[in-house]
Amino acid sequence: MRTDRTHRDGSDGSGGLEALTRDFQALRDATERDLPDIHQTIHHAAQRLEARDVSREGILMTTIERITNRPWWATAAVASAIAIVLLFVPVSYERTLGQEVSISLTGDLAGDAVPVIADAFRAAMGVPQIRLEVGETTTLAARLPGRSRAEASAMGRAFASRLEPKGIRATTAVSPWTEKISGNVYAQVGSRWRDLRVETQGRSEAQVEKEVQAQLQQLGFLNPEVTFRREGDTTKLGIKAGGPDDEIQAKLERKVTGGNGQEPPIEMGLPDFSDLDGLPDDQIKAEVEKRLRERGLEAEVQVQNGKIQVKVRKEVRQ
Amino acid sequence: MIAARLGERWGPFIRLLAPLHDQALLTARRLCRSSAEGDDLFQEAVLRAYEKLPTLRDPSRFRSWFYAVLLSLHRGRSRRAFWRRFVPIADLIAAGDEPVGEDGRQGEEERQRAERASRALAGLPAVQREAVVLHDIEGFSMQEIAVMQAVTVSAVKTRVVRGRTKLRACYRRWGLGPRVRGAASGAAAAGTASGSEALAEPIGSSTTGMRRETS
Repeated sequence: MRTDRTHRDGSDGSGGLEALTRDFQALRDATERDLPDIHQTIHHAAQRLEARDVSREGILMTTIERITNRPWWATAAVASAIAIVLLFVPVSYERTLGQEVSISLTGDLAGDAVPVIADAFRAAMGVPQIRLEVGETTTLAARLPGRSRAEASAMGRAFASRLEPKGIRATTAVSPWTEKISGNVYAQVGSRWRDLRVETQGRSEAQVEKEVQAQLQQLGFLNPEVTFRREGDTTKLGIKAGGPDDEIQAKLERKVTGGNGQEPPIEMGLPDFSDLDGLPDDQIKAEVEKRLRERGLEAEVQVQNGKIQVKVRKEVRQ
Repeated sequence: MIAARLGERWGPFIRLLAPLHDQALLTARRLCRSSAEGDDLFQEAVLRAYEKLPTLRDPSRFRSWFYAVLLSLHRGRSRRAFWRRFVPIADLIAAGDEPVGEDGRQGEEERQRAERASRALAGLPAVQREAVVLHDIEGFSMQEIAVMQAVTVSAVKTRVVRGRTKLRACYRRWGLGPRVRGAASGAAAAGTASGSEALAEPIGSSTTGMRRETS
């Protein structure tokens, strides 16, 4: 194992941050516990493969998974005209996080049998915790992230079959585990864009700045600095956030034509370009421009020493 | 009989995977927020690698090829995990994974440290997290990581330095960092010209790492 290397100079190598050094060591130790051997790994992988092979749903899930892994496939699949329209249409949607598999136990259950079965169930499902309901029927339920229905069902049935020789009858049920998200259409196809939506009508510049700042903080940006200015029929929004190494700068200049002086809300996508870290500036610029184009935005992009500045110009007609 | 059938079908793959199984599994666990999540990622990587094995031209490159598969899946999951920012952190912590030490107090301290490191790493962008875990925790060389991440060595160095800088900033925010003259100056030093010096040794490979923290 490579984890016991020592430093030539005897220092902790963390620039004086000993807590981090010790925490890394603790993480090494913690993750080395209960390591499954290769045969267990292959057994589980084979089970997953089998479940995938026997189910058309499995094939569908694989496709969906591939699309969600590569959001731009999905983006590209949407006709650009529709995409531009939908870009600024917030929608609510429900997404499936995985499956909940539950096992109902009937038969002769001795007093201490349930905790033992619950432990075994938790281990078999590979999850940190399960739900246990004890009543006329004892039910164990586990949420399996990222699993297809077929996979979850196969895992549940495999566990139930292990109980049969012990005289315990178990019935398996699988239901989707979902969550409801409010976002815009791009959040569905690729969560690498973080979207802001701010009502400006009837609000002062300072109020808009404060609102944008709060949203940026909620989205996880550090130290956001926001400027919002109105100049005639043009509004300008400037954003600067992050630390010295991951600073993000974005400017939005908007000219509203018509609308009887009504200001539509500002809607802006802040992309996560962290996967471009370490690439040469010209490659970063090209990739950023490509991604912005794919999203239907005309933008001026500047990259200097890995720092990206995006300026979007868009005219809104009402 | 089942084992024999598995062996027949998976045999060649098992022979390639066996030498790196434990280490790659540990890497997967350290990249994720919990061991269970890491095991799941690893199983998925095993399955993906098994299915794509015919595309591997040179079996001697299996190690780096398998890691590339693992890291690709990890990045995919990280993108999907964006919305988890809004899930309470307690839901993501594997309560069942609590290690039990001979000394209960020490075990609890160790658990908290591991959890803290895991939480800090989870705050990094996926590519930086990979670079830091592979270099500072697993001990891979920059060249090895460059092959796994399919980028240049200098890109890996940048990722490691930026990742470390963010980790230190995170620890300072948690009140665990040294009293420095200015946080920004420390971060800048680690991220710019002195990067190659800073990279001379990985974080966290100290043999004195088991000392108790008294803060």
